Amino acid sequence: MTTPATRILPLVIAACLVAPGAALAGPTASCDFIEIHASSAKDPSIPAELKPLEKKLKKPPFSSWNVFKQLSRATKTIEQNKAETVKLTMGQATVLLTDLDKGAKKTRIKLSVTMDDQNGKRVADAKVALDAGDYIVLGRNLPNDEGHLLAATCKP
Amino acid sequence: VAERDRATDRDAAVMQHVDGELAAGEAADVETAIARDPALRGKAEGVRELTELVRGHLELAADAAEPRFANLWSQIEKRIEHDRAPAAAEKRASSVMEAAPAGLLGRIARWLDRRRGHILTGVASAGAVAAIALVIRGTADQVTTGDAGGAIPVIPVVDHRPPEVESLDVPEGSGTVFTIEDDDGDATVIWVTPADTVEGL
Repeated sequence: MTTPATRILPLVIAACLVAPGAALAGPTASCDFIEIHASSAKDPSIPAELKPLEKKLKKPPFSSWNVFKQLSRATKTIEQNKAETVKLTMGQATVLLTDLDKGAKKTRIKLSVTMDDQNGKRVADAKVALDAGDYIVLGRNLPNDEGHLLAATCKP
Repeated sequence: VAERDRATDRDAAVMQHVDGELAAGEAADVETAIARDPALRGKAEGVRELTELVRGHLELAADAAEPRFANLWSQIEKRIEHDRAPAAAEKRASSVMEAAPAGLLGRIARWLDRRRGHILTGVASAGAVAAIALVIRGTADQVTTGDAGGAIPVIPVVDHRPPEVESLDVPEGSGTVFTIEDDDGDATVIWVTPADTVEGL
C-alpha cells in the first residue's frame, strides 16, 4: 500500500533532476545558412529557392553578377555560447551565438561568424549584431570573376 | 341786442368755418359773407392765425413731452409685468396641482416633471462619464488583450536597428562592409577581397 508521500516522491525527484537543466539552458536561435555561387552569363538566372534574397542580389555589390546558384542550405538551432559548424560546398563556417536580447523592441542577435575556404584558410572572422530576420552575408571573389557567398539569418 | 346777438352768431360761424366744422351749405354762406364784409374777413384771418399759433404750440409741447411719456410708459409696463408674473406662476402651480393624477404613476410623473432640469443634467453627466470610461477601457484593452480570444491583436511599433559589425578580421586580404536595405529586411554584407587581388590592382 502506497502512502501519499511515496507517490509524490518520484515527482519531486524528477523535478529536481529536470529543473537545473532547464534553468541552465540558455537562449537559442534558429538560423538559416544559404551558400550561393555567383557568376555572369548571357541569361540572368535566380532560382526559386533564392527568392527571399532576390531583391538583395540585384543590388551592389551582387549586381555585377546575374546568375546565382544555391550550393547548399542548412537550418540549425544554435545555443548561446555553443559554436556550431556548418559544412559548405566550398569550405565551412562556424557560428557562435553570443547574445540574444529579447527586449521590448525587435530581438537583437549577436553572432560571431567565421568562414573558411575549401583549403581550410580563414576567409573572415566577424562579430555582428543584427535584428532577428536580417541577413549577414559573407562573400569573396573566386577566379574567373565569380563569387562565393554565405548568407545567414537567425530568429529566436 | 338783436344786432349784437347776430354779430355774435356771425363770429361763431366764422370761427366754426375756420375750424372746418360747418356743413357745406353753411360754409358757402359764411364764405360769401366774408367776401362781402372786409371786417368779417379780418376776423376770419385773425382766427386762422390764432388757430395756427395754438396748434404749433401744442405740437411743440407734445414733442417735448414725448420722451417723458415714453419713460413713464416703460415704468408702467414693467410694473404690469411684475404684477403679472407671480400671478401666472401661482396659476401654473395651481393648475399642476389640479391636473396631477392621484395614482402612483401620476405622482411619479409629477415628481419627474418638477425635477426635469435636474434629471436632464444628471443624464448628460452620466453620459459624459460613460463615454470617458469607454474610451479609457478601450485603450486599456488595446494594451492588454494581445492574446485574448476574439480580440484584435495589436501589433506593437517596432524600432528597427541597423546591423552592426562589431569586429572584422580578414587574414588573407581586406574586407568591405555594405548594408543593403529593402522591404525584406536589412542585410549586412562583408565582402572579402584577397590580398593578391588588391596587390594586382
